[in-house]
Amino acid sequence: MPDSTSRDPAPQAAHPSDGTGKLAVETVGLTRNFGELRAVDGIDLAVPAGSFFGFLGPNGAGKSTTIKCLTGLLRPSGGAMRILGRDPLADPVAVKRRIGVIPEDLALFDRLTGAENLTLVGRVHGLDGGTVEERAEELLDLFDLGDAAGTLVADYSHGMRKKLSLAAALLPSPRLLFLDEPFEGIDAVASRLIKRLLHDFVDRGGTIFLTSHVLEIVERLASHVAIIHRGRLVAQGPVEELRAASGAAGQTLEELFLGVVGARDDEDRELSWL
Amino acid sequence: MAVSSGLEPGPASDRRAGAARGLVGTFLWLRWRMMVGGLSARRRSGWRLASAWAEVGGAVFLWVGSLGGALALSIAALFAARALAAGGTGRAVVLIAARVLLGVASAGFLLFPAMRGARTGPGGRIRLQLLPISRRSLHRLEVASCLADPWLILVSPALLVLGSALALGLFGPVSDRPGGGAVALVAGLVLCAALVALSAAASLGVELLFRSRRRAEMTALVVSVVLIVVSMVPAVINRQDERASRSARDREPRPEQSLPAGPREPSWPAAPRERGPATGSRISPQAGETGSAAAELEHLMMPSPWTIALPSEAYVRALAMATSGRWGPGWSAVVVLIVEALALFGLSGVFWRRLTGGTASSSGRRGPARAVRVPELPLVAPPVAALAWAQIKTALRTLPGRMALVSPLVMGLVFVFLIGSDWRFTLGGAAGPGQVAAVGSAGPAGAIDLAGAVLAAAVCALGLLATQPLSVNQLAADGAGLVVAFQAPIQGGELVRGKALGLGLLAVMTTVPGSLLVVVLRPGALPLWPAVLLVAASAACLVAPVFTALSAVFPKAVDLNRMGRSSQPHQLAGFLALLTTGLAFLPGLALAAGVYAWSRSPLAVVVAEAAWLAVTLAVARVGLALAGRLVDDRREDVYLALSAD
Repeated sequence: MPDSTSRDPAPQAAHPSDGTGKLAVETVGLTRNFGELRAVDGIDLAVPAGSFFGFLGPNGAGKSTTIKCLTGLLRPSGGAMRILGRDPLADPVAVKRRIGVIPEDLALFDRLTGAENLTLVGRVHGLDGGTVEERAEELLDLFDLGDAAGTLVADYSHGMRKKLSLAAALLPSPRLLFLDEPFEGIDAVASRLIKRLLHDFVDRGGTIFLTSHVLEIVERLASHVAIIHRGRLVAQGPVEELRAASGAAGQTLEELFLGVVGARDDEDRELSWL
Repeated sequence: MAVSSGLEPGPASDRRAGAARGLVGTFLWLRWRMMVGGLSARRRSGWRLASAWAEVGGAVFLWVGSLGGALALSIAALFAARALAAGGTGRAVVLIAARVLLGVASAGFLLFPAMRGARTGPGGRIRLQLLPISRRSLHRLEVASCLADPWLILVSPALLVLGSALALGLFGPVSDRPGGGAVALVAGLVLCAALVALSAAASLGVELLFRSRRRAEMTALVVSVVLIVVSMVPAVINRQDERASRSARDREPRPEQSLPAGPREPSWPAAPRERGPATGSRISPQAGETGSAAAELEHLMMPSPWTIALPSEAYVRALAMATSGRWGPGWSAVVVLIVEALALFGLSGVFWRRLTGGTASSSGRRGPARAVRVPELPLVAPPVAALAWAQIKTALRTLPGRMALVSPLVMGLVFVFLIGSDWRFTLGGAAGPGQVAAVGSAGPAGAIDLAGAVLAAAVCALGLLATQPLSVNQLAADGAGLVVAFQAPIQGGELVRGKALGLGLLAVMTTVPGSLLVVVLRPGALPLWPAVLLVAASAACLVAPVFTALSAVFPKAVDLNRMGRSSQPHQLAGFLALLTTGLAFLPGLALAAGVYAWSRSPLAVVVAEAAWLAVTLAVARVGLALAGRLVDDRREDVYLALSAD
């Protein structure tokens, strides 16, 4: 795969695919246009299997559009993709069988209860009734949703929906998880639980592709990051290698991010009337 | 550098007036920008843009129509003022017309804002609450915005013109005593205020009612059923009148039968005897007749006990008193009107405080429940069965789904009641009309109540049509849940088969009870009931792929909790679905008629319809496979239609 650094002077680590490890997600020149707007501009992603991959970028950079392309909600305008070694455009069912997704808009049936949502997800993934029942009960208990299992999702709070969405993504036991802002609106207790779950998932060989605006969380969890800015990939690689490449080994991910994306020239400006 | 607070020093009253003007200007700008933004072409498909323009065009048409109507009514008000000033019968006619017109307008002031309240979501309200504007000011703005109501634009100029013409004495004094014109003018002004307050109270009250999801669903269901029943009332009354007149005609002796000989009497009844004592006065001397008519007019001018609480009635009473020289009682009526206006304004304030005082309570807790199982269906793959199960579950928890269950039953009852036992439609049989042949009987010996079968088929068609808000927009109607299906490891073919199966089972729930009710009430149709169900099933098979294709081509984000357009599929899709449903019933009905005419055997009809169902099942299988490919091709468009709205 071509290196994504060719267009940008930002610091880059060695390309993950240069090693011998397999790639869970691989894109070449992935592009997506909305009319005249190019939301994703020829990005070359390489997510090693078994990694915790943080996908970062400012608002409107193209993170969610990229995830929607990778998970089959949007069709790319150009480029190629491979997910877990398969082409999701040619064989979408096989890919979807092995991935779990928390989309930006928390895909859940409002008019089904929490338990019914999990049952539906399990059954459409081809799990037998007993397995679905067993896993659903375990997940509902784990996420403290047991008392609300029979409540319609329409009556759930945002945090409850987020937890149920994560439970639905985990239920089919996927090998790759796409998580779009999974910690947004989650309380500290649930956040801690989710972090531990995700760590365990990666420890057992799973791969996580996560977007978040909370750089501290990504810094603590992610082994690899990619930074997208105005639709273009401007940095990619293991966190430590990116720090080394930037020439400041001790800097935080936030400093690295601002260095790559570019802090605004006028950020020191004051509002005199405030 | 000097810092400006934005508030210049000056008298407090000037500052308040300036702030109020700024607030009104800001809200006018906000409305304008929202309308322009709604028409923006960015990231909108052609038909959605056309829909937005059509909506604005409709509103503009309504406004222009209201202004034209207001002008015409204002001119009429001048004539009315002249008639009131002249007195006599003309005055009475004007007052009666005012009672009727303002009564109807009051219903409009209640109904249309109520519908607006049912459609309004909390989003805009929450944003406004976050602004540094007091709740009281926002409430006054909300009430003031009702001034733009087309009904008020239509009525208020005429009220003011009438009052002004009387107050200025354009057509002479309205009575022997001065002050009557002032009563009329003040009453008109206060009525306008009362109608604005009524409009605001109705809109906010219904919005409050609809804030709770469950309350909204229950209210919408009850209102919908009541509307169906009420819409049938004129036909029922008409039917009753027809029956009464027919039975009266039947009771009349026919001259050639009852009076074979002797001199003939007139066949019409003697008027005085039939009409009772009141009619007696009509043959009294001229003076008595005039007095009675005047009394009748006087009675019609005054409010009835049933409507006395309406602001329009208080207004007419004030007008009547003012133009009869009794302006003391006239002012009393004005005071009543003021009290009513203040009460309605206060009520709207109470609703406003409830709406803005907290978030909607979720009363939907159902208590703990554990994981659930999807029933296994023979010959159906588990993902398809799961999708069908989810389709039924979600459909029955929506207003259209519940309506689809209830409305065919209600319509079946209404049909049977309307048609009653009068309509006999039988083919063959030596026995008289209405006699029933046993199932399986062949030959012309028996006769079947085809009217009942036709009614049952009509109820089945209505049952299918009632599911259209769900079936014609079956993809987008799932909202965010559709993404679950799109991200599931299934092909488009499995998705549409699951949905078609679920909607098919829903159609069974909507058609079987209603048609059964008809054949129970019209037992003569019982032998053909299975054939009716088979006709409906084959029609459902034929429309299933079409509905899926329509939902893929015309996806529309809907809120199935709401009444009106916001819960309906795209209008063109709805029209095509209606057409398709009608056409889909034709082959089955034609086959039934042909086979029955040829064989006179209900069993033969059932067998023929079963064979036709097998054919339509095969057609549906092929059609759904094609529709599945179409859904695969249109996934992104459907998803974008959902996320863009």
